[in-house]
Amino acid sequence: MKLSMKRNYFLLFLVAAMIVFPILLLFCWSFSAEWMYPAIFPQEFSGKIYNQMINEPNFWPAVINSFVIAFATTLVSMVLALPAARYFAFQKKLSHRFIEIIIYLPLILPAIAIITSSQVIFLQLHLTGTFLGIILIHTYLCLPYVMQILLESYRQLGEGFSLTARSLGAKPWSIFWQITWPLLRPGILTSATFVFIISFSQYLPTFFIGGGRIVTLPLLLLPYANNGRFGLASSYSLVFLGCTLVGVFILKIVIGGIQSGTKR
Amino acid sequence: MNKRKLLVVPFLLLNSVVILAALFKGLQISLGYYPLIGLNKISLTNYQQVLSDPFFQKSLGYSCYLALTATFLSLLAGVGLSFLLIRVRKSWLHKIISLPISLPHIIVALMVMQLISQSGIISRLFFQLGLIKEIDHFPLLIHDSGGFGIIFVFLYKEIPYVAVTTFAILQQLQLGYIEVAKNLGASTTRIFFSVILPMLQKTLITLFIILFCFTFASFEVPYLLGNPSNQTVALTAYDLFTQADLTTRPQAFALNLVISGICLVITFVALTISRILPGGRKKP
Repeated sequence: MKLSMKRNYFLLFLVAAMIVFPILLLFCWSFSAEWMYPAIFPQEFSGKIYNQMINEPNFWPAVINSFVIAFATTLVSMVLALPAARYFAFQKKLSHRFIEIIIYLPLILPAIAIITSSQVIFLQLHLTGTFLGIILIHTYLCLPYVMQILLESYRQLGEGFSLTARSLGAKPWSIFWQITWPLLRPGILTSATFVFIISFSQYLPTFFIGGGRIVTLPLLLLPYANNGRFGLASSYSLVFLGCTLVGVFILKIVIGGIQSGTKR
Repeated sequence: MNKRKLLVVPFLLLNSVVILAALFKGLQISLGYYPLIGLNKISLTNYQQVLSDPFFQKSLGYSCYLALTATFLSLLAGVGLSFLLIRVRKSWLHKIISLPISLPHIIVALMVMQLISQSGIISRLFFQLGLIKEIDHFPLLIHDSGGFGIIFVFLYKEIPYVAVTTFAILQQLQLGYIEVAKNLGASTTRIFFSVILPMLQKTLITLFIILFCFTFASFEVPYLLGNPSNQTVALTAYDLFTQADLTTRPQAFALNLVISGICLVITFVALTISRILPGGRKKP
């Protein structure tokens, strides 16, 4: 028994190592000044590549645009999903499977088909090349994840607390802020984090709806990765990951920091 | 009660407007109504072209192959990994395992290039160990015709996703059933097929649908790691839509609708199978 436990532990450790190893490669590449073929370690380390990246004219606009779009998408998704998830969680007419299909439809229908088709419509509405257009399409693509997490959170929370509060005469708005929000906070934080990361990593919708006018980090990263410029692509990837960590941290402060009602 | 229903409206509005508008526009143009370039005759020629052209057929077939292989392998390995996660409850290891879920596909594709391309770290290691004499002796694992690199990226992303999702379900289920079955003398395979699978199959089918549809139409990964002569549907659609020539648009929209249709059919088939399998009719 003890032995099999050790074996399992070792196996899982191996899987974790396999996951971490390629990420370390990114660090090596981003700090390498020279790394020719058969060498296992870079011949020379330097921060030259980061310097080059920061001096690119598109770098800072891309970082700022990525943040603006991802935060806006997070906000819009939460505003749309919170009430909808509440309704779906407590209604009794539709089956779970049916709700699941409605929620997952944006994941089932190919993103490229929906994006390219909506580009034509967005063109007519003058939404291409605008932040609003990009945020709308990002929200559409992120909603399944939010809905899935929030629906599960609402189901676990149950209706009891809010029903009690209502029978004691609380107004819907104060029920939301004093009961639902604090109790649902873990689910809200998880789903907001998910939206932020997913919106941050979108390439296709930003490319098609942004029409080249709005650059984000993935739009800069993809060409470098495609041209085999591993150094720059790696440094962009790490900046990308750093930015998502910063974003998640900000979300944690904002969502975890609004102290209304009971503390958990 | 009515007021509550209003709460779903904004969500449904965004979803259905985007989906219906996109599909309607696509249907209109693919059927040959495209006044912008002087087309206004309704016909099915574009669909016939898309379905009979060997180029489209090949890219549809290739995408199906990639999606099915990646999805089945991820499900198998992911379920296996989830049982490992149940047994070894070390939260730092669990955190590392769930890391790939939040990595974007572009970055994973880049990492895979650095790992298994001909000039990648594994090839360098083989060279140093004397296993290969020249860079060309290392097998072509990315940009290859079998799509090994593409599948590798999806496995890296999706195995942890399947594992973490299944782990969450396994934790909720009464694992006591497994103990009971064991006590009653059931074999491991019997326990898996009669106890665990019926409890898990709904989740697995949902995962299958999501993963298949995603890999089938994913763009970034085959764009970065694909073989130039084996295009996937997403690349074909991308090429058609980025062309300045508007006359190919109706075909592009027909392709869009065909791939949407394939995803819907797969979803329907998977859901039907889920209903037939043990555990399907019982209400959750």
